[in-house]
Amino acid sequence: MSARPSNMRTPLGRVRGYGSAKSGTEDFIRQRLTAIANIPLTISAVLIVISLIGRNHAAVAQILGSTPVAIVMVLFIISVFYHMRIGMQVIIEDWVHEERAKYALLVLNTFFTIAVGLSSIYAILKLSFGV
Amino acid sequence: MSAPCCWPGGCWRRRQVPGAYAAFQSAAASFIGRIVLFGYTWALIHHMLGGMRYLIWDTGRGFGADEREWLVRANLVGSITLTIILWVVGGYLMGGNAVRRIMP
Repeated sequence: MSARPSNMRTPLGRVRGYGSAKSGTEDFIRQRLTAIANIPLTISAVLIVISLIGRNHAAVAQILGSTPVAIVMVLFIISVFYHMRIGMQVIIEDWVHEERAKYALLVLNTFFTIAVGLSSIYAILKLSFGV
Repeated sequence: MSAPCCWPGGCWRRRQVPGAYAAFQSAAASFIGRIVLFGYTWALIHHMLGGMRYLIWDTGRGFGADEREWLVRANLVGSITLTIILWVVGGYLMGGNAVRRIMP
């Protein structure tokens, strides 16, 4: 033991290594990783959506299906949906204290993210592959 | 009158209907549709700048009382400014007459 502790955590707390939730560091890091990825991806996606306003069906299908736009949109969907799922999970964990309701909402949160996210990716890929 | 596309099964029934995209376009390009899209992009940009505030806080900086006040104001002013810039400049860059299409 050093004479002067470098932080305010007790030795026992340091040994245990976890907070009360036993996990969450992974989500904390991934929330920030996707946040950084979302900065360029969101600006790109907003510009793409603005460029689609008022165009006819053929033009919109061509723009969304073009290789660079389709890749950016798929990356945007993956990063935003991952970010959204973690953020919503944190809100549920913070505010829903009744156990059954909490776990039901956490399951629905993940189901919703995967269902809507994969539907969005499917739509982009379908346009891009020209099927 | 067939079910709107947002109803379960709506998309499947209307998929091959020639007027389906026209129906979407008239809603999306209407005044209310543009307000909703503009508001949605503003919310997205505001969330993005608010998140960058948290990334600054993650580095241990910006916790002073004045700094926190300043960051909140910069968040609001920045999100409104950046959204307008994206719509005006972005509209021009992305398609020539886009500004006329956005603001007829």
